Amino acid sequence: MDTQDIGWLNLLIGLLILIFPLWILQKYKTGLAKDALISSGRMVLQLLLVGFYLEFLFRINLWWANILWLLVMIVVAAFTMIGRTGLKWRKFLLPNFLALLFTLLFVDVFFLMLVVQMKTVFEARYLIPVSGMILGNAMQNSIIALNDFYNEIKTHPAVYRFSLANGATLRESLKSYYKNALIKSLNPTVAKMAVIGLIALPGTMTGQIIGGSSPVTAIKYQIMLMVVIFAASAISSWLCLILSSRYAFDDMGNLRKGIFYPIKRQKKK
Amino acid sequence: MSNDAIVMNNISLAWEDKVIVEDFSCIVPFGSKTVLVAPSGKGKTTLLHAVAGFVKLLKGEIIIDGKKLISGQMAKIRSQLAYVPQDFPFSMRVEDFMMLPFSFSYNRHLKFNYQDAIRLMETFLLDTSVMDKPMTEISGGEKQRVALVTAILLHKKILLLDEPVSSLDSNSKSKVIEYISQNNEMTVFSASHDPEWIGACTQKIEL
Repeated sequence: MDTQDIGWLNLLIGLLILIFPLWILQKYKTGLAKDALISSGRMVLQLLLVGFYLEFLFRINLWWANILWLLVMIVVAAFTMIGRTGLKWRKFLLPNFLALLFTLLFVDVFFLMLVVQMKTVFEARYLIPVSGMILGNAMQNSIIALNDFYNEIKTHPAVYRFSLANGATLRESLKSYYKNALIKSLNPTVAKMAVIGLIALPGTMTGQIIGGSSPVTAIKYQIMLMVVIFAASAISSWLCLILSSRYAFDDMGNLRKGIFYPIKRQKKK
Repeated sequence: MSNDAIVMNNISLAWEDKVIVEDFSCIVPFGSKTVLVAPSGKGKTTLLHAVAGFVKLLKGEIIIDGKKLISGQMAKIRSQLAYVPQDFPFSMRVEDFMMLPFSFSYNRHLKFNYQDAIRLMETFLLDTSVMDKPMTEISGGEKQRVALVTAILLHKKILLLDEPVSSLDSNSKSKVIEYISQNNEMTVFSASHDPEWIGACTQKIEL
């Protein structure tokens, strides 16, 4: 069963629905209309490029090309995390990159080899989209975790100072900050899992059903994707926190100065 | 072992890029009750923070129990301190708060003694029923006494106390001051505005 293709002209017509949100945003002078227009434009352009590129990747299906593409994705994700947390890339690109790389390797191998039982993990048609989903979610959750962690350390240093000055190691004194950052980061995913299928039909499942899979196959994938996304978000948030804090504190346990770009460089969430 | 708990030699300190302590020297002997006295914003808390290693020295040196305060010695130095700050943004139960420092690596050899805690709370006129309450639901004065009891129970060589009696009523303040000043073994390095606390200290250092 093949998917009904969308014609290019029809796709253009489809984009016209953006008129409504843009009109609403403009009417109330939210200042978001311009951003929304730019974001939509970027989204269309990026996806078009990726679509053609993926078609090319799938056709050649070379393991090294897939790995290269994954590395590009991870670097872009790590840079995005840096941009959204205001941390300086010179010190924090490497820990964030490593956190994402390890998460992706572990979860991809687990899911594709053990669960889907692929003969090779390098099958582009599976590897690239699955990695994209995992990476996108892991990145978003890690950004929330890092933002919460460093904001709390900066604005409420009293808790960790109290601990340090009363006999705690740095790791011990940061424990409650790690805890709160992980709660902030993972709470939405936990909440989402509880209502999935009832309130919202997730994108993957919808996509697969439209793509011709049986609903039962689609939900199996959906279940696994929810679980691996949750696992990946937790692993990557935790690794980002642990690895980045190795660079963020000096050998006396104090938050280093100059690890953040000045506030104006921090982008809106 | 040196007889001096804390020695500061010509130190200068900055807080948020502003130099607030310049060329400051002092000696805090073991067993002394030392208080830093100065108007707000003159660097009292910053000096306490410096002893705990939270502020980088612009110049000079700090020696604690014969050990120079440098990164390699930080763990040893901190393991000899108990610190009572001005605010306690903790939400855990009071008992858990009191037990928290006993779970830290450098205090593993110490055991939280519930009976001692109760006895000390009673000495400080602190209702022992607060043990079960969250830290967020007790008054400022109660928090201060809970933190003092915790710090004392750790039996550390040096107590760093930042405005230790600022939220206490006169009765409990007198009890706290009486207990600390009668305890000859205890070394206190404090910052305070309180005339009664300042009066009871054996050494007063004006900034």
